[in-house]
Amino acid sequence: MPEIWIIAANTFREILRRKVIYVLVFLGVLMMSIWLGQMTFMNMAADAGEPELILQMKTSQTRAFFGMWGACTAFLGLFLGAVALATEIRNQTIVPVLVRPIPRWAYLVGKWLGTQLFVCLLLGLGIALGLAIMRVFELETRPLLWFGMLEMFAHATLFTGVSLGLSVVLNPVLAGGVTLLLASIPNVFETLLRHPHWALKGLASAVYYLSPAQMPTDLLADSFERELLQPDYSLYARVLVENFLYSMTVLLAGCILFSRREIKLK
Amino acid sequence: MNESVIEIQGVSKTFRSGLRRVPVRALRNVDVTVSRGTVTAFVGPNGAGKTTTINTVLGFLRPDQGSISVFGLKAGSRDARRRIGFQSEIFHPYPFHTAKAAMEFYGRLSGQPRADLADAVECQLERLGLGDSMDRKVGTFSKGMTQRLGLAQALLHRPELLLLDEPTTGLDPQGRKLVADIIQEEQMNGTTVFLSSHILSDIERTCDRLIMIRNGEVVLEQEIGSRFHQDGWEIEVLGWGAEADADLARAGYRPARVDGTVACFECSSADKSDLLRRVLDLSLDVGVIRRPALSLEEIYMDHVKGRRGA
Repeated sequence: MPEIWIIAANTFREILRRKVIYVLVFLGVLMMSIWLGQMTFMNMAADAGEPELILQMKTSQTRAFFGMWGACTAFLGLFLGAVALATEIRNQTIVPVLVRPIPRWAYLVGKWLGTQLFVCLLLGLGIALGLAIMRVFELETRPLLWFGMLEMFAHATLFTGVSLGLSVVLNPVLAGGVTLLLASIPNVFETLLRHPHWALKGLASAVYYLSPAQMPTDLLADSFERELLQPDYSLYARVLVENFLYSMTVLLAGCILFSRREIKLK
Repeated sequence: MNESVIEIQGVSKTFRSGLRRVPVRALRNVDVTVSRGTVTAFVGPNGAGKTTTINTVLGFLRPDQGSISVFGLKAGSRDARRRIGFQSEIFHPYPFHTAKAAMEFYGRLSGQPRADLADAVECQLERLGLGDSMDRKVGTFSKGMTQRLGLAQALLHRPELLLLDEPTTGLDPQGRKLVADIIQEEQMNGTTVFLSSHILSDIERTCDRLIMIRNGEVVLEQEIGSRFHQDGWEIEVLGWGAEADADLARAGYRPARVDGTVACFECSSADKSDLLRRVLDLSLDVGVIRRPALSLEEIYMDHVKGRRGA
């Protein structure tokens, strides 16, 4: 389907021209500056001759960098996914595209691919920077860290795919909000899973299985721990695959609905 | 020649707006047939349902009732869209494209092979007078240039059906003439054109048929000849005088205008023969018998104000 790639490439170019992206980049640079400011404490520890403390600080700085970059990218993916369709309908740029003989689902998949490509490139840039920092800090990389990076990609994919899929039937604010809610809901309902009352337990189970899978541990944080208690790689891989399939399912449902829905232009 | 390209049968569409979901009937039992090779004008006041009709033909909206087919295919289907070129009232391209890149983008989405695309893009941009602006960003275009680009992209894949929704919006007289010329060229190439417009002089010049819509209902469907005839007659009587005036007044006929010895009567088709017989019985001469013709503008105003039709 060449049209998917044509739309994806166009979406990518469109994102690069969004002013809001540059505001976010500016905020990112600002946060990085604050992060770099923390380096002065490291210099103070070096002056005091505290190698253990320096290692601890290096580890936490790197962990914070990965965490911050991952979260920023995931939220950017959530935002871009939620507004992708609504912006095109509001600006009516969708009209000359959808009068062409392309299936509606191909259009939506193209939009997702373009957004995903942008988010992944940004994430790749962050990971490259993180690895460079680790090299400068002489920190060792562990297999779990690679899983942590994969989790960052899976998270970004989940946020982009689900918010775009939901934006077919919800306005962008609601689509973004519901995506966030879906991602955080399992934590809220986890305690209810063991509730003695059958109704609450049933409700919690339903919500639990309808929401994305939760990683049982913070892979990035754990990858910087000195002692690791038998990491369950197959479980982590299953969660990642499950979440990827979850976002694809929501996107597929979005494609089906988008193929049937009316496009009301003002 | 009579093969239908667009067939709209009994289409109704209601929108619901606001929290109370107040229904607004946009189309009421609309029947429209557009034959191959014709240029059909679709006219009506703002909010009459023209754009809603076009959007249902394109498949953006679904009718609540009735059916629409394009080339015998379901409206909005891929095969139907492949054969349609569409220009919206205001063309909305991506502002970061150059004119050439925008055309290539739409051409590739239409499935045009890359090898033919470069020539087709250049040809259509030249045709619409945008040859010198090929490498300019569309975001810097004037409204008129954007509209011409809109028409160029609609023509790019040589569609069999051109759907034009107010194509001359924002165009200067030169641009309007260019559009009218292109419509005529396309018709000569066998393209069917369905044109929604407010510019009645353009319609009189370029269209074969007129469909008028008001409050979501088709109120007039007529071939555009040189004149639009009213349902009635005008009879000019020579040698008019007081005696004739009194005689005909007794029979219920009074002249609409009298100019010296010339009287002008307006009557229905049913009364025409009787009036003529009486005039000849009075040994008067009949100067002219004609069906009064209205301009397209008069017809339009009559229908818009609801003095005629539905």
